Amino acid sequence: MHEWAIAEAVILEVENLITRYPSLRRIKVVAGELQNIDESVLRQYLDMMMKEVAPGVDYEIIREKAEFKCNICGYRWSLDEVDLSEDEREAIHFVPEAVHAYVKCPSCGSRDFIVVKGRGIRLLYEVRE
Amino acid sequence: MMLSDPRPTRISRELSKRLTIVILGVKGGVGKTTIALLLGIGLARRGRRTLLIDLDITDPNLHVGLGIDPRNIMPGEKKGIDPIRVDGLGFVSIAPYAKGLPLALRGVEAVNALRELLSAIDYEGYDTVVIDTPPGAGDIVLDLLNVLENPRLVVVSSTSKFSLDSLHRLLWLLKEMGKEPDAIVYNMVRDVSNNFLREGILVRYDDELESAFGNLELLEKTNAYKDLENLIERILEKDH
Repeated sequence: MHEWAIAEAVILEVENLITRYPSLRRIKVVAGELQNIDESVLRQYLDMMMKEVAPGVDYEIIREKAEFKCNICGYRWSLDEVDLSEDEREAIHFVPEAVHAYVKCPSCGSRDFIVVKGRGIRLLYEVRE
Repeated sequence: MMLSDPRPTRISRELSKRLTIVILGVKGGVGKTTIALLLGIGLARRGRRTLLIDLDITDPNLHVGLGIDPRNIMPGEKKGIDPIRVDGLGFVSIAPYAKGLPLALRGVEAVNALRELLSAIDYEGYDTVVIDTPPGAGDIVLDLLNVLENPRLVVVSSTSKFSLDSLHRLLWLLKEMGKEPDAIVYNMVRDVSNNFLREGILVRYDDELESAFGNLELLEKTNAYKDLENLIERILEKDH
Protein backbone atom coordinates (compact mmCIF):
# COMPACT_ATOMS: atom_id res chain seq x y z
CA MET A 1 0.00 0.00 0.00
CA HIS A 2 1.47 3.34 -0.92
CA GLU A 3 -0.49 4.79 2.03
CA TRP A 4 2.30 3.37 4.22
CA ALA A 5 4.84 5.67 2.57
CA ILE A 6 2.53 8.64 3.13
CA ALA A 7 1.87 7.66 6.75
CA GLU A 8 5.59 7.21 7.33
CA ALA A 9 6.24 10.69 5.92
CA VAL A 10 3.63 12.12 8.33
CA ILE A 11 5.23 10.41 11.33
CA LEU A 12 8.75 11.54 10.34
CA GLU A 13 7.48 15.11 10.10
CA VAL A 14 5.72 14.83 13.49
CA GLU A 15 9.05 13.68 14.94
CA ASN A 16 10.67 16.76 13.44
CA LEU A 17 7.97 19.05 14.77
CA ILE A 18 8.11 17.69 18.30
CA THR A 19 11.88 18.15 18.36
CA ARG A 20 11.42 21.74 17.22
CA TYR A 21 8.34 22.41 19.38
CA PRO A 22 8.33 20.24 22.55
CA SER A 23 4.99 21.83 23.46
CA LEU A 24 3.31 20.53 20.29
CA ARG A 25 -0.34 20.05 21.19
CA ARG A 26 -2.43 19.05 18.22
CA ILE A 27 -2.03 17.75 14.66
CA LYS A 28 -4.55 17.84 11.85
CA VAL A 29 -3.79 15.61 8.90
CA VAL A 30 -5.60 17.15 5.95
CA ALA A 31 -6.31 14.49 3.31
CA GLY A 32 -7.19 15.87 -0.12
CA GLU A 33 -9.99 14.30 -2.14
CA LEU A 34 -7.78 13.93 -5.23
CA GLN A 35 -5.35 11.59 -3.51
CA ASN A 36 -8.29 9.56 -2.19
CA ILE A 37 -6.19 7.96 0.51
CA ASP A 38 -7.39 4.85 2.34
CA GLU A 39 -8.10 6.48 5.69
CA SER A 40 -8.17 3.18 7.62
CA VAL A 41 -4.57 2.38 6.62
CA LEU A 42 -3.42 5.88 7.53
CA ARG A 43 -5.27 5.75 10.85
CA GLN A 44 -3.89 2.30 11.69
CA TYR A 45 -0.30 3.48 11.17
CA LEU A 46 -0.79 6.79 12.98
CA ASP A 47 -2.56 5.13 15.96
CA MET A 48 0.42 2.83 16.31
CA MET A 49 3.17 5.42 15.84
CA MET A 50 1.76 8.62 17.42
CA LYS A 51 1.86 7.03 20.91
CA GLU A 52 5.52 6.30 20.37
CA VAL A 53 6.81 9.51 18.77
CA ALA A 54 4.38 12.11 20.15
CA PRO A 55 2.64 10.84 23.29
CA GLY A 56 -0.05 13.24 24.47
CA VAL A 57 -0.39 14.94 21.09
CA ASP A 58 -3.92 14.70 19.69
CA TYR A 59 -4.44 14.07 16.04
CA GLU A 60 -7.35 13.99 13.64
CA ILE A 61 -7.76 13.30 9.95
CA ILE A 62 -9.79 15.83 7.97
CA ARG A 63 -11.07 15.22 4.46
CA GLU A 64 -10.86 18.16 2.04
CA LYS A 65 -12.93 18.40 -1.15
CA ALA A 66 -11.01 19.13 -4.33
CA GLU A 67 -11.48 22.46 -6.06
CA PHE A 68 -10.01 23.61 -9.38
CA LYS A 69 -9.64 27.07 -10.89
CA CYS A 70 -9.03 27.82 -14.55
CA ASN A 71 -6.07 30.13 -15.18
CA ILE A 72 -7.63 31.30 -18.45
CA CYS A 73 -11.31 32.03 -17.73
CA GLY A 74 -11.34 31.92 -13.92
CA TYR A 75 -14.05 29.21 -13.69
CA ARG A 76 -14.04 27.19 -10.46
CA TRP A 77 -15.25 23.61 -10.28
CA SER A 78 -15.19 20.44 -8.17
CA LEU A 79 -14.63 16.74 -8.88
CA ASP A 80 -18.41 16.30 -9.12
CA GLU A 81 -18.25 18.01 -12.52
CA VAL A 82 -15.55 15.66 -13.77
CA ASP A 83 -15.97 12.24 -15.35
CA LEU A 84 -12.97 10.00 -14.62
CA SER A 85 -12.43 6.29 -15.35
CA GLU A 86 -11.20 3.87 -12.66
CA ASP A 87 -7.70 3.85 -14.22
CA GLU A 88 -7.56 7.65 -14.22
CA ARG A 89 -8.67 7.80 -10.58
CA GLU A 90 -5.99 5.26 -9.71
CA ALA A 91 -3.29 7.34 -11.47
CA ILE A 92 -4.43 10.50 -9.66
CA HIS A 93 -4.43 8.59 -6.36
CA PHE A 94 -0.67 8.07 -6.78
CA VAL A 95 0.21 11.51 -8.18
CA PRO A 96 -2.63 14.04 -7.83
CA GLU A 97 -1.04 16.29 -10.49
CA ALA A 98 -1.84 13.57 -13.06
CA VAL A 99 -5.32 15.14 -12.96
CA HIS A 100 -3.93 17.66 -15.47
CA ALA A 101 -3.66 14.87 -18.05
CA TYR A 102 -7.35 13.93 -17.79
CA VAL A 103 -9.24 17.09 -16.90
CA LYS A 104 -9.90 20.30 -18.82
CA CYS A 105 -11.78 23.39 -17.71
CA PRO A 106 -15.50 22.56 -18.12
CA SER A 107 -16.15 26.14 -19.17
CA CYS A 108 -13.44 26.99 -21.73
CA GLY A 109 -11.66 23.64 -22.33
CA SER A 110 -8.22 24.81 -21.19
CA ARG A 111 -5.72 22.45 -19.55
CA ASP A 112 -4.18 25.45 -17.78
CA PHE A 113 -5.83 25.28 -14.36
CA ILE A 114 -4.70 24.97 -10.75
CA VAL A 115 -5.78 22.68 -7.94
CA VAL A 116 -6.90 25.26 -5.38
CA LYS A 117 -7.40 22.71 -2.60
CA GLY A 118 -7.92 19.05 -1.87
CA ARG A 119 -4.83 17.66 -3.64
CA GLY A 120 -2.96 15.47 -1.12
CA ILE A 121 -1.73 15.27 2.45
CA ARG A 122 -0.61 18.25 4.47
CA LEU A 123 -0.19 18.82 8.19
CA LEU A 124 -1.60 21.56 10.33
CA TYR A 125 -0.18 21.81 13.82
CA GLU A 126 -0.78 23.79 16.97
CA VAL A 127 1.77 24.51 19.68
CA ARG A 128 0.79 25.07 23.36
CA GLU A 129 1.23 28.71 24.43
CA MET B 1 -2.67 26.51 13.15
CA MET B 2 0.59 26.32 11.25
CA LEU B 3 1.17 24.38 8.05
CA SER B 4 3.74 21.74 7.29
CA ASP B 5 4.54 19.51 4.28
CA PRO B 6 5.51 16.01 5.48
CA ARG B 7 7.08 14.88 2.20
CA PRO B 8 10.58 16.49 2.14
CA THR B 9 11.59 14.79 5.39
CA ARG B 10 10.98 11.29 4.00
CA ILE B 11 12.65 12.17 0.69
CA SER B 12 15.72 13.50 2.43
CA ARG B 13 15.92 10.51 4.79
CA GLU B 14 15.55 7.87 2.09
CA LEU B 15 17.88 9.45 -0.44
CA SER B 16 20.63 10.40 2.01
CA LYS B 17 20.97 6.66 2.79
CA ARG B 18 21.73 5.95 -0.85
CA LEU B 19 24.21 6.99 -3.52
CA THR B 20 22.06 9.65 -5.20
CA ILE B 21 23.23 11.18 -8.46
CA VAL B 22 21.38 14.15 -9.94
CA ILE B 23 21.88 14.84 -13.63
CA LEU B 24 21.62 18.55 -14.36
CA GLY B 25 21.52 19.97 -17.84
CA VAL B 26 22.12 23.53 -18.90
CA LYS B 27 19.70 23.54 -21.82
CA GLY B 28 17.20 21.27 -23.53
CA GLY B 29 18.71 18.93 -26.10
CA VAL B 30 22.19 18.56 -24.57
CA GLY B 31 21.60 14.86 -23.92
CA LYS B 32 20.89 14.91 -20.21
CA THR B 33 18.37 12.08 -20.40
CA THR B 34 20.79 10.02 -22.49
CA ILE B 35 23.55 10.48 -19.91
CA ALA B 36 21.15 9.59 -17.06
CA LEU B 37 20.09 6.46 -18.93
CA LEU B 38 23.62 5.31 -19.83
CA LEU B 39 24.92 6.09 -16.35
CA GLY B 40 22.05 4.12 -14.80
CA ILE B 41 22.75 1.12 -17.02
CA GLY B 42 26.48 1.32 -16.30
CA LEU B 43 25.99 1.43 -12.54
CA ALA B 44 23.52 -1.46 -12.66
CA ARG B 45 25.97 -3.53 -14.74
CA ARG B 46 28.59 -2.93 -12.05
CA GLY B 47 26.37 -4.51 -9.45
CA ARG B 48 24.71 -1.39 -8.06
CA ARG B 49 21.00 -1.87 -7.37
CA THR B 50 20.01 1.15 -9.41
CA LEU B 51 16.78 3.12 -9.56
CA LEU B 52 16.29 5.62 -12.41
CA ILE B 53 13.88 8.47 -11.71
CA ASP B 54 12.59 10.84 -14.38
CA LEU B 55 11.83 14.20 -12.78
CA ASP B 56 11.26 16.05 -16.01
CA ILE B 57 7.71 16.30 -14.74
CA THR B 58 6.03 18.21 -17.56
CA ASP B 59 7.93 16.54 -20.38
CA PRO B 60 9.18 13.11 -19.32
CA ASN B 61 10.80 10.82 -21.88
CA LEU B 62 13.30 8.59 -20.11
CA HIS B 63 10.78 5.77 -20.70
CA VAL B 64 11.49 6.06 -24.44
CA GLY B 65 15.17 5.27 -23.80
CA LEU B 66 14.14 2.27 -21.72
CA GLY B 67 11.67 1.01 -24.32
CA ILE B 68 8.59 1.47 -22.12
CA ASP B 69 5.19 2.54 -23.42
CA PRO B 70 3.65 4.57 -20.54
CA ARG B 71 0.14 3.91 -21.85
CA ASN B 72 0.43 0.20 -21.13
CA ILE B 73 2.12 0.04 -17.77
CA MET B 74 1.36 1.09 -14.20
CA PRO B 75 3.77 0.66 -11.30
CA GLY B 76 2.55 -1.60 -8.53
CA GLU B 77 2.58 -0.75 -4.83
CA LYS B 78 4.33 -2.32 -1.88
CA LYS B 79 5.23 0.00 0.98
CA GLY B 80 5.08 2.81 -1.53
CA ILE B 81 5.29 2.98 -5.32
CA ASP B 82 6.98 -0.21 -6.52
CA PRO B 83 9.34 0.85 -9.35
CA ILE B 84 8.86 -0.67 -12.81
CA ARG B 85 11.62 -3.22 -13.55
CA VAL B 86 13.49 -3.02 -16.86
CA ASP B 87 16.38 -5.39 -17.48
CA GLY B 88 18.00 -5.04 -14.05
CA LEU B 89 16.99 -1.42 -13.43
CA GLY B 90 14.18 0.13 -11.40
CA PHE B 91 12.31 3.01 -12.99
CA VAL B 92 9.90 5.68 -11.73
CA SER B 93 8.33 8.48 -13.77
CA ILE B 94 5.13 10.48 -13.86
CA ALA B 95 4.60 9.29 -17.46
CA PRO B 96 2.63 6.08 -16.66
CA TYR B 97 0.30 8.13 -14.42
CA ALA B 98 -0.34 10.61 -17.25
CA LYS B 99 -0.56 7.83 -19.89
CA GLY B 100 1.56 9.86 -22.30
CA LEU B 101 -0.91 12.78 -22.32
CA PRO B 102 0.23 16.43 -22.06
CA LEU B 103 0.78 17.72 -18.53
CA ALA B 104 0.40 21.48 -18.26
CA LEU B 105 1.72 22.24 -14.77
CA ARG B 106 2.61 25.61 -13.35
CA GLY B 107 5.58 25.89 -10.96
CA VAL B 108 3.96 25.01 -7.63
CA GLU B 109 2.16 22.03 -9.10
CA ALA B 110 5.29 20.70 -10.80
CA VAL B 111 7.05 20.91 -7.43
CA ASN B 112 4.12 19.09 -5.81
CA ALA B 113 4.37 16.31 -8.36
CA LEU B 114 8.12 16.04 -7.76
CA ARG B 115 7.65 15.78 -3.99
CA GLU B 116 4.79 13.31 -4.36
CA LEU B 117 6.76 10.95 -6.59
CA LEU B 118 9.95 11.06 -4.53
CA SER B 119 8.19 10.69 -1.17
CA ALA B 120 5.91 7.84 -2.25
CA ILE B 121 8.57 5.48 -3.68
CA ASP B 122 9.38 2.22 -1.92
CA TYR B 123 13.20 2.47 -2.07
CA GLU B 124 13.76 -0.92 -0.43
CA GLY B 125 16.21 -2.97 -2.48
CA TYR B 126 17.96 0.02 -4.12
CA ASP B 127 21.35 1.40 -3.07
CA THR B 128 21.80 3.83 -5.98
CA VAL B 129 19.44 6.43 -7.42
CA VAL B 130 20.00 8.34 -10.67
CA ILE B 131 17.70 11.32 -11.16
CA ASP B 132 17.06 13.01 -14.50
CA THR B 133 15.84 16.61 -14.27
CA PRO B 134 14.33 19.25 -16.56
CA PRO B 135 16.76 21.68 -18.25
CA GLY B 136 18.09 24.73 -16.45
CA ALA B 137 17.61 25.84 -12.86
CA GLY B 138 13.84 26.23 -12.53
CA ASP B 139 11.43 25.28 -9.76
CA ILE B 140 11.96 21.53 -9.93
CA VAL B 141 15.75 21.64 -9.90
CA LEU B 142 15.86 24.25 -7.14
CA ASP B 143 13.43 22.30 -4.96
CA LEU B 144 15.32 19.06 -5.52
CA LEU B 145 18.65 20.64 -4.58
CA ASN B 146 17.00 22.12 -1.51
CA VAL B 147 15.44 18.85 -0.34
CA LEU B 148 18.43 16.55 -0.94
CA GLU B 149 21.19 16.69 1.65
CA ASN B 150 24.30 15.76 -0.28
CA PRO B 151 23.55 14.57 -3.79
CA ARG B 152 26.29 13.85 -6.30
CA LEU B 153 25.87 16.27 -9.17
CA VAL B 154 26.68 15.63 -12.81
CA VAL B 155 26.27 18.62 -15.13
CA VAL B 156 25.70 17.91 -18.81
CA SER B 157 26.47 20.40 -21.57
CA SER B 158 27.07 20.25 -25.29
CA THR B 159 29.97 22.19 -26.79
CA SER B 160 27.79 24.73 -28.59
CA LYS B 161 28.35 28.38 -27.70
CA PHE B 162 24.80 28.66 -26.35
CA SER B 163 25.25 25.66 -24.09
CA LEU B 164 28.67 26.78 -22.82
CA ASP B 165 27.27 30.22 -22.02
CA SER B 166 24.52 28.59 -19.93
CA LEU B 167 27.00 26.20 -18.33
CA HIS B 168 28.99 29.11 -16.98
CA ARG B 169 25.89 30.48 -15.21
CA LEU B 170 24.76 27.11 -13.86
CA LEU B 171 28.20 26.41 -12.37
CA TRP B 172 28.19 29.88 -10.84
CA LEU B 173 24.79 29.24 -9.27
CA LEU B 174 25.84 25.85 -7.90
CA LYS B 175 28.98 27.36 -6.42
CA GLU B 176 26.93 30.04 -4.66
CA MET B 177 24.72 27.28 -3.27
CA GLY B 178 27.80 25.47 -1.97
CA LYS B 179 27.22 22.53 -4.31
CA GLU B 180 30.22 21.53 -6.38
CA PRO B 181 29.47 19.16 -9.26
CA ASP B 182 31.29 15.84 -9.27
CA ALA B 183 31.71 16.03 -13.01
CA ILE B 184 30.93 18.06 -16.08
CA VAL B 185 30.01 15.88 -19.03
CA TYR B 186 30.55 17.43 -22.45
CA ASN B 187 28.16 15.52 -24.65
CA MET B 188 27.92 15.06 -28.44
CA VAL B 189 31.52 16.22 -28.88
CA ARG B 190 32.71 16.31 -32.50
CA ASP B 191 36.09 17.97 -31.99
CA VAL B 192 37.96 16.44 -29.04
CA SER B 193 40.94 18.78 -29.40
CA ASN B 194 39.39 21.72 -27.53
CA ASN B 195 41.48 22.50 -24.46
CA PHE B 196 38.62 23.32 -22.12
CA LEU B 197 37.25 19.80 -22.55
CA ARG B 198 40.14 18.36 -20.56
CA GLU B 199 38.46 19.31 -17.30
CA GLY B 200 35.35 17.29 -18.12
CA ILE B 201 34.20 13.86 -19.20
CA LEU B 202 33.95 13.68 -22.98
CA VAL B 203 31.18 11.80 -24.73
CA ARG B 204 31.70 11.77 -28.47
CA TYR B 205 28.88 12.35 -30.93
CA ASP B 206 27.42 8.92 -31.61
CA ASP B 207 25.31 8.09 -34.68
CA GLU B 208 24.38 4.70 -33.24
CA LEU B 209 22.50 6.07 -30.25
CA GLU B 210 19.25 7.02 -31.88
CA SER B 211 18.57 3.51 -33.13
CA ALA B 212 19.68 1.98 -29.81
CA PHE B 213 17.15 3.85 -27.65
CA GLY B 214 14.64 1.41 -26.26
CA ASN B 215 17.09 -1.49 -26.26
CA LEU B 216 19.49 -1.70 -23.32
CA GLU B 217 21.63 -4.37 -24.95
CA LEU B 218 22.26 -2.12 -27.97
CA LEU B 219 22.85 0.92 -25.76
CA GLU B 220 25.64 -0.93 -23.95
CA LYS B 221 27.44 -1.35 -27.28
CA THR B 222 27.45 2.35 -28.19
CA ASN B 223 30.56 4.54 -28.04
CA ALA B 224 28.66 6.98 -25.84
CA TYR B 225 28.21 4.23 -23.23
CA LYS B 226 31.91 3.36 -23.39
CA ASP B 227 32.85 7.05 -23.06
CA LEU B 228 31.00 7.19 -19.75
CA GLU B 229 33.24 4.54 -18.14
CA ASN B 230 35.37 7.28 -16.61
CA LEU B 231 32.35 8.95 -15.05
CA ILE B 232 31.11 5.69 -13.56
CA GLU B 233 34.56 4.89 -12.15
CA ARG B 234 34.83 8.40 -10.71
CA ILE B 235 31.48 8.16 -9.00
CA LEU B 236 32.06 4.69 -7.58
CA GLU B 237 35.58 5.55 -6.47
CA LYS B 238 34.33 8.46 -4.39
CA ASP B 239 31.62 6.27 -2.89
CA HIS B 240 34.16 3.91 -1.29
